[in-house]
Amino acid sequence: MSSTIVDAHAGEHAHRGGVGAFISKYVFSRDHKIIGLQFLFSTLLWFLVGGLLALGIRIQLAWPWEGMPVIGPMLFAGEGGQISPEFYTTLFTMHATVMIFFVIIPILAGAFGNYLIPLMIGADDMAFPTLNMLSYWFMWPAFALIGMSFFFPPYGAGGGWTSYPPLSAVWEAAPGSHWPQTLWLLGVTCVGISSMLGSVNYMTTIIQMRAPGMTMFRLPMTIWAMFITAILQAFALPVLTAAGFMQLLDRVAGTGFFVPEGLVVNNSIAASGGGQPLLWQHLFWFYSHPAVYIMILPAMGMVSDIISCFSRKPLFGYKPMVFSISGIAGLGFIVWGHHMFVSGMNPILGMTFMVATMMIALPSAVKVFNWLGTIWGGRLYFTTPMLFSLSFVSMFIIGGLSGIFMAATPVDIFIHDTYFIVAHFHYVLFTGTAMAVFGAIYFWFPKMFGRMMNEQLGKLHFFLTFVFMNGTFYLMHILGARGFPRRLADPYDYETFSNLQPMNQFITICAIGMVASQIIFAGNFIYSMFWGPTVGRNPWRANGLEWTAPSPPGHGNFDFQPIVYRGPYEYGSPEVDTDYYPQTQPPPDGIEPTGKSEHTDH
Amino acid sequence: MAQHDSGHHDDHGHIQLEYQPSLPINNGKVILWLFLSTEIMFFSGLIGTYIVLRFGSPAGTWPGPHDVHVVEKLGALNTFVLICSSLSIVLSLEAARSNKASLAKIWFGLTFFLAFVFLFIKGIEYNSKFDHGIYPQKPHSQIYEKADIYYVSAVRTRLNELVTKWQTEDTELATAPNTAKQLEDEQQSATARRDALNGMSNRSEQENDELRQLTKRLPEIKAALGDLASKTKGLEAGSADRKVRLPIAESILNDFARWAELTAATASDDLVTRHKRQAAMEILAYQVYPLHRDAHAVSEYLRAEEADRNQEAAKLAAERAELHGNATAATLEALKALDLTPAPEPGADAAAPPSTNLSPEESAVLERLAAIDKRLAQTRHREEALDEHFAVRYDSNEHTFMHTGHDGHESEWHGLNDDYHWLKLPMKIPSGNMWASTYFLLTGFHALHVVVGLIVFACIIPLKLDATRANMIENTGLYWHFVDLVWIFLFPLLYLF
Amino acid sequence: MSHDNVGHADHADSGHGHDQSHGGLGKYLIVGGLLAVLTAISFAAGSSKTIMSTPQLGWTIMIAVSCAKAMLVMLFFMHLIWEANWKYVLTVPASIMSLFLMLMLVPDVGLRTRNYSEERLLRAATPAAADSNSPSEEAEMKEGDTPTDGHKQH
Ligand SMILES: [Cu+2]
Repeated sequence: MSSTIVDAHAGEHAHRGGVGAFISKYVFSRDHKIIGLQFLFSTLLWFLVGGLLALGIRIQLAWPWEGMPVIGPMLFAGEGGQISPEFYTTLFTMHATVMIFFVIIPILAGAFGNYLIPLMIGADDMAFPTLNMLSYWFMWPAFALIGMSFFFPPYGAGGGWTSYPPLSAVWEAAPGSHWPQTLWLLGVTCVGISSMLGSVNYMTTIIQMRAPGMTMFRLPMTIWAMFITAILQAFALPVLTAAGFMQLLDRVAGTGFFVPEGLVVNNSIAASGGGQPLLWQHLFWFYSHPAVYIMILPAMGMVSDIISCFSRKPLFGYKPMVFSISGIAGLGFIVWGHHMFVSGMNPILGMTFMVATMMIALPSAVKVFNWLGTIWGGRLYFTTPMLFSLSFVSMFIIGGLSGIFMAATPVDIFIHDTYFIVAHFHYVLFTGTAMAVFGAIYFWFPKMFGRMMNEQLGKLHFFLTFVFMNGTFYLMHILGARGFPRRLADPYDYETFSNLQPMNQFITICAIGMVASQIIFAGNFIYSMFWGPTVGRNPWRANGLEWTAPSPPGHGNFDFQPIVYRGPYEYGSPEVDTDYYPQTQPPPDGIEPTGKSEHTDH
Repeated sequence: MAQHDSGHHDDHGHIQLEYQPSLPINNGKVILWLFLSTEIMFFSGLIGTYIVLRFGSPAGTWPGPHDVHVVEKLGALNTFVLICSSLSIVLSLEAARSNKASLAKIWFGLTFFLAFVFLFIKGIEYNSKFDHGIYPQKPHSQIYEKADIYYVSAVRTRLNELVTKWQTEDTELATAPNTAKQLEDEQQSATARRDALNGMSNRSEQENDELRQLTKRLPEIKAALGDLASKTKGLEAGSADRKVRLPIAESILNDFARWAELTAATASDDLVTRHKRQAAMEILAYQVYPLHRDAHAVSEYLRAEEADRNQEAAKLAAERAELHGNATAATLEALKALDLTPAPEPGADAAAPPSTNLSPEESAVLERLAAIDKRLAQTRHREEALDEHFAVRYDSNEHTFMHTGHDGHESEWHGLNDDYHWLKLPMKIPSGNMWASTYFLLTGFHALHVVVGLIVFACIIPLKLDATRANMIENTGLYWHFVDLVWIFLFPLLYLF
Repeated sequence: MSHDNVGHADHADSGHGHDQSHGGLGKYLIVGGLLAVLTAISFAAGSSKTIMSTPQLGWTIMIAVSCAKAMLVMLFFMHLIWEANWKYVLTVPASIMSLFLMLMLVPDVGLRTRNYSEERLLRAATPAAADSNSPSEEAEMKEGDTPTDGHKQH
């Protein structure tokens, strides 16, 4: 088997010059794999930026006003490197913005969605490759706009990632609510357009371009999760886009959708009034609660695949898994109000949202139960992807349970806007999703680059990250339970919190360790890309369609017509001698192949 | 490793793969329907916003169509236009399917044309709103939520602005010949001097300098003269307008706006004064931009105000008669000598200068009499002005004010802004900014979709629209019908509700 | 919204749906005419003083008419009446979600003024200076020194 796939399609561009060929192949590529990798690299770079912004927050909280390294002398030389409170708001705003809109969402849907969907369903590309390319290139205006916002004082938007009005809707409301906030809105709108283009494309591809025999209930969980995520994006994102446009108009055109009556800012009445700040919160969370599932469902899907593969056992309860993902998505649309319990919303609504939110625990518990069921009695291989996936499952339990605390209105009133919330969503998003993403990178890296990543370094990366992240995020629960507020540049101003500084210092040291541990990952990634040991098509002995394609797959992905005979989780099947049973392997003689041209998707 | 390692080549990558589609339609149509789903959510976000803001606005404040120059007929016409365009694109699709390319093109072209018509009518509608100052704008549009002191002072500011501008222009026009004369003189002397200097055979350093400066200065003078001429021309052209408008603006400024502002600023917190203050501001707001639903309340305010005025006048007249009866001849003489044209500031009333040859008692009487006369004159003056600009009769059956125009024809009162379109005074439209925000948001995004449709049409129209292009026309048509669907809901919501 | 069931039974398993024309000119013209008539009805309802004296009645009529028009456009112009069952998959969820979103905004934002006190409505958009609580300030007010100057300075 050759791994000269890269030039499998060289003939088509033979007439082009070197640079032109490079640009059309790697820059303006319409190949889903290249686009997926473009997303992967862009998001990993932004991951670094977001991580550094987080360190800025941590340093301020551990040693307030003692001068921020690097950024301090650069931007605040006049104050001896001591950052301003406004800059602190910028730090946490941009940290969240970068991590959510530039890292988690695009790395899951953009990078893995793009790379895996056609490969795992047996298609040669997305249904609309040009649209797919556009969805990546719409990220660049967003990168540029958000990047530009760093150059207007106070160097970034400061409205929080939720951009709540009236602070964000009034031009003069605060430092950082001038140009940076407007650029922020435009940038997020571009991310929205990118995601929207991606999601309709993914749905069309999954609906229409599955290989013969690949019925909907033979799809890997990754694809199911991507499919449901795409639906969430398609239905929720336009609402945020609409709200974003309205806020933009409030800022630049003098409309008053979100500006309340008689709002006095800087001793003058806001230009217009009669709007409703609460309306923004509703529209924003109508997207952004489903968005938290956009940020975790694909991770759950990928983890399901990895766990099943390394337990050498079929996924426990495949259909319940599908239904629970759908259930989470469906319920996800009717719970957004739990972010607004203390906003002064209608109490009857609050009650409804509380009950609906609690119900999400059910499908989530089904998923955890099924993962545990999959592991139970399996022949476990503790490879790096498996370690990350197991970590995902256990940490997701912590993050999920703390979610139930805040779903309860009476409890939420106490912990609202404290570090308890911060602990919760970092447990879900970092120790959950980010760990799953690491696992997925280790798992599919051989497919993407035809080379293995180093296992020893991978395990070291895992253990260091695991220890440091728990040191960082676990203590935040305790901070939050003691009322430690988020989004405050110097909480120690309040006597009550001054004794919490040592704990914050410990957290910050762990956070620095956590960021430093990623150097191992970066080194491993870059080294393995070029010098890792080459692999064949199926290094993990997995069942999915993608493992039957060459590593890395060439243009058009498959060098044969994939025909699917079974689901992707037939590990340890008695029908064959091997402990895995690829989806494309015809059954041995005497067993009737089923479902070749079935139409049983709905 | 996998079973495909042998027996297959992977060097020719791209083999044609077979799929098992779930839906019996082409991918383009699938993605288009999915895209329309996202569009449905987008517009439901916008329309939902409109609905909750509109029905959640304080009871009875949302402006009716006529309060904000919405013409239902134009909306209905546009609905019809879009329906026709939907129909024509369907017919184009039918023609394309039966491979009648030229017929398809005719129908398609008609759709294209109707889309333009829609935008054209939309443009007319937008224009009329902009013309009347109804749009959201930073830092503040002409729309005010209520008649309060901010509103009244904004009216005064606008009037002041107009009056000052025209007065300055008049002054400039008057001084223009003088300025021109000066410039011409300078030009003449400079030219003569320059020629003289040029004529010299040997010039001193100083004279050389002077010559240089003159050569520089002369074109400047010429340019200044040219500027002045064109400016004067412009000022002259406007002078006829100014002659008519300036007195009107001044009269409105001095007779209503200032009266309303000062009444509104009366410093007392008893209920009667509060009522009077509100009355003054409401009356002014109604004069500028009458809202039909305010007519009844304003008529009450006016009646109360008139009663008040009459009462005050009667009281003053009685006091005046008494003072007159007791006054000395000298006092009356002095009174006659005073200039009693009403000053804009009622505060100035008491400042009548006492004649020196009067006793203190006489001066006091004189002062009081002067104040009374001035006050009476002022009231009379305001009434006259009111009659001139606001000659209205309240029709209690129709609950409207009727206005007799210059031609003697009686019609509904449309306000000073309408009578004198150049005034562009701030308007009181409760929830008006919100109305404008939502109206322009909804129609704007809809119009944007129409424009996108136009671009798509423009790309397709040069093609040969035969059966092979039927899918393309179908998908374009689906998008276009969606645009029509949105308008079907926007029309009643924005024009008729 | 209700969906017409006509036609999907015999098309459910057809692989190509509708390559042929369905009604031809006549059917589409009838639909177009109906749409025009419905527009006229809602216009008439909106302009009728009798109907709009109970605005709720007028609104109901107009929305009902709009829904009828939307149904006509979707069924005939967008060919949904002739399509297979997929039409429900691609249209019903979006319709439900959009209605749901609008409904969920009602209790919080749509009914926001329901519990406002008279006082709050009266004072809305009016800062303290304008409502008579500070007579001294107003007494001192001179021309060019009015409270508006503050809010004009953007
Ligand atoms: Cu949530």
